[in-house]
Amino acid sequence: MRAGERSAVSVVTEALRAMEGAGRDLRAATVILAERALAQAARVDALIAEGRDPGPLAGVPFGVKDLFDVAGLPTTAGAAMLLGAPPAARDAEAVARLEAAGAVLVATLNMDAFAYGFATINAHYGTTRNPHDPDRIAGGSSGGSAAAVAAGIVPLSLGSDTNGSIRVPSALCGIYGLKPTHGCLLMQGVYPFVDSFDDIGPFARSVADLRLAWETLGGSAPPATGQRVARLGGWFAENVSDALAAGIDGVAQHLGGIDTIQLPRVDAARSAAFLMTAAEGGALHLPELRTRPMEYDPAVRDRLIAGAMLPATAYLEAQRFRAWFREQVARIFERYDVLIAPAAGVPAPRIHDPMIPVNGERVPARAHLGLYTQPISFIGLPVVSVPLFRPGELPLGLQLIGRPHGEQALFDLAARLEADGVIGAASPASSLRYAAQA
Amino acid sequence: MGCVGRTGPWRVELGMVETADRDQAVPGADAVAAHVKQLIGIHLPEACVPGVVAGLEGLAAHLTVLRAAERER
Repeated sequence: MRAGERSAVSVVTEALRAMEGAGRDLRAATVILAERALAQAARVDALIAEGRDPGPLAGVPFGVKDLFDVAGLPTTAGAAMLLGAPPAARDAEAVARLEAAGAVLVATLNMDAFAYGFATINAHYGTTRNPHDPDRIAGGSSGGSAAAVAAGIVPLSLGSDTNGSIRVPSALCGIYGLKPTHGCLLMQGVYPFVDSFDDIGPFARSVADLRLAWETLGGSAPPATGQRVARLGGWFAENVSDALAAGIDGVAQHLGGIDTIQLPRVDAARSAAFLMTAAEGGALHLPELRTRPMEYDPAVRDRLIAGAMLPATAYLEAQRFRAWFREQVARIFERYDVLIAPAAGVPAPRIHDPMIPVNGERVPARAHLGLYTQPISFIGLPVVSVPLFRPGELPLGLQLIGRPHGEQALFDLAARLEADGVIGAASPASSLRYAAQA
Repeated sequence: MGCVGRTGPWRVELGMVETADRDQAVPGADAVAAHVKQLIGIHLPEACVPGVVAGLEGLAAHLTVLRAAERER
């Protein structure tokens, strides 16, 4: 673009066309912002024509999960009941930062209503389809953001992650996703869910793009001091498909053999995350639940009401356990810089049967795909979700987990594994792939 | 309203309805709805009762796991 080989307007026009086509077919897009996007693209082209710096993301089309404020639009958080809400007065801080760097917002993207789910099964906008197999879910709750990048519609998108909502769809769609250290990227203009765990982060198809997006959003961390890697066993080795187990073995062998370690009481960490999520989510929605409960998506409403009934004593017990668990994990990070774990234990479940096996039982994917992600975000750790390189196969993903503010070690390891061909985003074989950008 | 039709370890502390016979703990939907109204001020339509009860049962199970860990450490 800087060399004048392509204009921002032409790139954005292609992305808009793809969003109208594959983006709609995949149920990834919710609102397509053609007029706004073309105006922003024209501004980028004008800067280049004037010989001025258009920014590091000049002309890069991107989409955002439907819970980021976009000036002039109601922020629905994926809920039809908010379609009539007052329009946002200004863009979310993250949107503003990306556009200040030259990127161009082209669409808002589908999600589980109020971000309460791991499947992007949305009663109003439909179920987001996986670009690698449209009969399968994309994961959630940022499913539209993951599907749009995996399909090649846009090279960059934003999502949010409370219990795994970036990491799970990244894994199921075969792309990269970042859940940063809790509280390190600005949440201004983002519809909340659970203040204790909510974070925003980018999706991309390469480590370099992911890192650039993080830096543009304001992410920073000290240089990595080492790359001592271990894999998580115990809870994180259970309920994992044979293919994923073999993939993790392959990564471990590639790294020259690494220790396997166990975190203590991971089951309780996940349970405590569940309880805090229910309590904070229920409290957030209680005023609306009192006045118009029947306007909620039933699957979300009933869980929120149950959460609102949780007594303070239970919430405080979960908080106390969190402090203890955080301390135990901090000791492990005295010996290691990166921990490897599954992001989701199985490939994307089928839309007509969205269940996964856990401990010999079939349980709903919508509530249980966060088996390996919830205990990690529970204590605010940064995670880069990376795809095993499996061209022609359904995607499987790993979490690279770091200590607080340890993002650089995660990016460094991901870049190394990507360069070695161990991980990488494979293009979908599906006919829904947007060929022009794949 | 009829009975909810589920059994389980009902716990008053989770806002669930304790019955006289815990083994037969199957509260009616009207009793659940009344309790929800009293506790958090939501008039619970009958259609919501099974989902809310399922949600409460899930939370009770998680609280059990958490407390087992607390006892061990």
